[in-house]
Amino acid sequence: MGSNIFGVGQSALAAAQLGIATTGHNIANASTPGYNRQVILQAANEPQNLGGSFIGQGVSVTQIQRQYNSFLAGQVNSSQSAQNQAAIYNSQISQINNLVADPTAGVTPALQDFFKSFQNLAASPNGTAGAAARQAAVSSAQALAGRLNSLQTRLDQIREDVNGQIGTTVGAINSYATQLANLNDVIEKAQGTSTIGNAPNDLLDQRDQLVTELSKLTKVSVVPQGPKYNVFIGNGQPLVLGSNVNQLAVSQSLTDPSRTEVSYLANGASVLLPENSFAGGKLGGLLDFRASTLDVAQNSIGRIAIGVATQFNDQQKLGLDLNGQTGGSLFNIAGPVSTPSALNTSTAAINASITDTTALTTSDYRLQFIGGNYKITRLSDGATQSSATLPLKFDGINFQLAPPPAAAVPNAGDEFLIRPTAAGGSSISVVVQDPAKLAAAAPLTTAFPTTNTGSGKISVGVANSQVASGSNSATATIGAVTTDDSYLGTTLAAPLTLTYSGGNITGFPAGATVSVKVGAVTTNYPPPATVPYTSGATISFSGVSFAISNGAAPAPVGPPANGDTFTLSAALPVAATKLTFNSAGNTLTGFPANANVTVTNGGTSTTYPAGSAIPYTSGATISYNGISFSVSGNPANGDVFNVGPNTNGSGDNRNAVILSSLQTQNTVAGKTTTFQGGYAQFVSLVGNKAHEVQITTASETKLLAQNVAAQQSESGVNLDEEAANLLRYQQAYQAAGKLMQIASTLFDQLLSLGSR
Amino acid sequence: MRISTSTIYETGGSRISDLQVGLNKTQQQIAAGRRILTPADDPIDSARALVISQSDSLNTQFATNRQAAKNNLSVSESVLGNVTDTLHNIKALIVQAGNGTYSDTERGFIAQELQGNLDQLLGLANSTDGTGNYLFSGFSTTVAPYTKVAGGAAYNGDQGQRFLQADTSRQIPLSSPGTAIFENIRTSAGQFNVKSNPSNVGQALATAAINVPTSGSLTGNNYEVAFDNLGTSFTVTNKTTGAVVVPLTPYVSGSTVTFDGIDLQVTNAGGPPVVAPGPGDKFSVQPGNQNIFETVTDIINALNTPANTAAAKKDLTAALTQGNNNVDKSLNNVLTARAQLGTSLKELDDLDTEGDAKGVAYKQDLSALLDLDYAKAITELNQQQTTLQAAQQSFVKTSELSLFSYIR
Repeated sequence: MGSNIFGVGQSALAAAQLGIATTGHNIANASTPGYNRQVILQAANEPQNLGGSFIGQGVSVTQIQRQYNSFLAGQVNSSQSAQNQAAIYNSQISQINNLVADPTAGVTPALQDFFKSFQNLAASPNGTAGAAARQAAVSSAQALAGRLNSLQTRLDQIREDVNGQIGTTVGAINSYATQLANLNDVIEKAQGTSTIGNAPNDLLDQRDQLVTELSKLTKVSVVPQGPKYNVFIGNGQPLVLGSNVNQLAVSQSLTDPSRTEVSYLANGASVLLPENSFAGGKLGGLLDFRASTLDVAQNSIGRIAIGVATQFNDQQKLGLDLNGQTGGSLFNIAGPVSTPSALNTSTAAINASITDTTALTTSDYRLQFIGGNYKITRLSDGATQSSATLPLKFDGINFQLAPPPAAAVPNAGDEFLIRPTAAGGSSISVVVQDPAKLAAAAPLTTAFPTTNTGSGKISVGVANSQVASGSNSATATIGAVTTDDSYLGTTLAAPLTLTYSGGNITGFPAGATVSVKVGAVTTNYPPPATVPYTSGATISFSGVSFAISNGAAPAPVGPPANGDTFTLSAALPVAATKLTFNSAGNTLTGFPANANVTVTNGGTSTTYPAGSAIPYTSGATISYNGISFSVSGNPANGDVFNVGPNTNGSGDNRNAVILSSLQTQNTVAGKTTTFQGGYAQFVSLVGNKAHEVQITTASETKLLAQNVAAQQSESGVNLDEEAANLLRYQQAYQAAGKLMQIASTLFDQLLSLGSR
Repeated sequence: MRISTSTIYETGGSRISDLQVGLNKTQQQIAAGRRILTPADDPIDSARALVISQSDSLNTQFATNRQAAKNNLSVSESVLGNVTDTLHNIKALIVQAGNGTYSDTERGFIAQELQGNLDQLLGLANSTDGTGNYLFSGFSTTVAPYTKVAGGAAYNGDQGQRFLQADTSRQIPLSSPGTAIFENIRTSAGQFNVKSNPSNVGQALATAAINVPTSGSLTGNNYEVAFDNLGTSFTVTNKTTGAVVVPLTPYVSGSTVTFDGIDLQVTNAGGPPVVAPGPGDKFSVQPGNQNIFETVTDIINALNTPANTAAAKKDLTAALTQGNNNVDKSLNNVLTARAQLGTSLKELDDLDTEGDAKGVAYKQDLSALLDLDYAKAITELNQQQTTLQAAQQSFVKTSELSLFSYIR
């Protein structure tokens, strides 16, 4: 009987001791991350059957259980992924957000000062005030270029930082994966040695904590298999399978060596994982930020830089500088960046050039050669265009094989990445150092002599095109030539003569692929190009476009005759021309030989064959050889109007006025907004995204806190509770001690019975 | 619900941190005076603010442009005021010279005074603006518009006219080229002003027109067609240079003589009876369009020519009448130019008023978009402060609560 009481007392003492130890363990780990509180499970020992009655045999601790709820833990892990993704995105985008925060800093004031300086140049193009105005214009152009450069440099730094962070994140993921695999092993062994049902609680906690840490880096899914965890990332790539680890690695993008991407090493092979396969976590946030904010920001800055530079350069080339020379480029700017994929099997390269800055988007483009077709995809929205031959025009960009004429042809499956605006912000710089080289003047003057007796007046005139066109055909005419942004002045350094013969036009420059657009259909003719003649078709090559048309009433009707020639030449300097009014026919004569004169009146244009007398209409716009003007009033017979080069027009501000008016013209994003508007769109894009991400971060943080609180309410340590438990087990221990004392007293009593 | 100790600390800590972030932001807003610190605070308004700030900056620049235009126009206006006075002077002198009792000597004095006026006119026409640019030479602002030549002054500028952007949709012309102000005195409806001398005996008529193929050799000089004593042959002299351009040529009615880009025809008058030119008959051929310098030079020349015969007196009267008419026309031109300047100046003033109003509106817009409502912000700051204090104090109180404190 006594031994029974001792047995019960001893089991109670042991249980209480274990209780105190476990409580102590809980208190000790109250602030250990990932620790799940442990409780002891006690059960009464099997009773002893003594003649029909069962006598209790004390207590024993059956299990030390950790309070872990895999559902709640999973919720915490998934909201860790979401919260970390939003938080890293937030911290990255707020760098750009702060960069463009101040309306008095950033690109805005530089852009405004730049245009202001050209307005001032228009007010005083020469003289002492002019020298100051010119210097200010050059300086403010440099300031604008510098501001765009520094903005781009900052974006580059952020990109470097993102690349670096991707690297460290991938390193951390690998490290966690290795630790997980090791713990899988250790846990398996530990479980093997212990009796069934007794888990190595603290090891399990450590492993679950590793999964939580991994969730902060990327979204993972965990599939338990026996005592082991299998961990999958991305689109289901196994990262940890039992005790095996498949490492991730950073590698260069196939089409952009400066872009760090993530690849997956499995069975000795490295597979590049698509950027969008990593949702969640720090890695997902970084990749998402780079693709949807950083790239767009860089392209937006580039688009503004390219727009400003190209528009100014083009207009500069239509003006005269202070020395009476045709203006040159004001800015240097890089064109599209085109890179072949590292997997390409041919040496073909794509030459992309910008033909229309107003049509540029902020997207990048992918060109693929699939099934004998060139397919161009706009990456922002997946819109495509395809054609069996190049060049192909898309969003103001001309995609062409390089280098002509003997271009290597791509093999099937070859791929190219074209980033039209990516290099804009970093490359813009000012070429003009000499303030006198700013082309403030227009290249032509118009005048009428005092001997005129009529009231006819001639407008000051403008230069429209860098290229003049002419023809000796008695019927067919060549229309005004438009040059796009890819036109190089050197193309027509010597005049080019195209000849019509037998329904074909020949004489295009060696190596030039000629595109002919009839209606909506564009056909490319490789060099040496023989182009079938279609009246009114748009013919383009090397950045120039024009149309040759049959003669139409009232001019002589009909197609060109065999041997007719059409010439293209530089429009500047303007040739001196004396126009004479003849009252008998109400016509103007005296236009340069071979000039096809176009008269535009109220939206209707008529082009006359070379040598025609041009019917006079008061106020109608007369254009030829890239210049245009109008004659109005009632000229008398023999009245003369002179058009000539501007030889002494240092005080002429016409081109400066046009240059400064570019500020308010809609020249960005499909002619929907101004340069400033383009920048505002960029700021708004950053602001909206930053705002969105801030809110997402805040709500994800709240959600995470709630999930953690829910998880902690079950698994976390409450010190008050532990204090109570401590008291409870202490008292249990004391009580058990008392039991032992009583048992001892009882035993003493028994012994003393015999000694009396 | 159970709550873990770490949850108590974490929620307390993060709540205090949130409050501090809010407090800090309000403090930054107050320090910067701006409601929007970064575009993320209000993406739409910050983009709008950028666009409005461009409009505002443009508006300010247009005001600068208008000031530049005003300076130029005001200088031109005052120069043209002086030109008007000088022309009035010249007119008075012409009227005075018409006094029949004056002797050649007295007319010589008047001619002298006119010469002074002519030089003054020339000086005015060559005026410069504040920065040393010539006002009336079109685009060639570094070239003096008029240089003195025999017979008047020649124009060296061009016919360009500078415009300045005075408002988004309005370009204001700066001063007109000299051709529009000092020239364009139309003396005849035709290309040339051909007149028979008042003392002609015959009644033949002369006409002149531009010879288109040789029109490049037009001089703008005055010519005289003079018949010989028999009335059968004539010479043509360039009166401005004194050169004989057509030596003695037999007269054939209606035949064309071409010189210096001019086709000249002298034709017998009507008929029958046909009236041929008489002996000694003269015709003057002047450009149909003169400048004021030619006009005044012509008058001076006429005044310096002795008028001691009846024929010479008639010549003088004719010359003075013509001169008077021409000066009137020139005065018209100058007044027209001044009227244009005045209109432009008035328009600039109007645009200034409008620009100022716009500027205020833009500033208000910008202020409404970006600026901080201080009263609201400071109230908010106080509220946030109070909340933060309460949160801190309550956190300290709750974290002090521990059962362990009671276990002795």
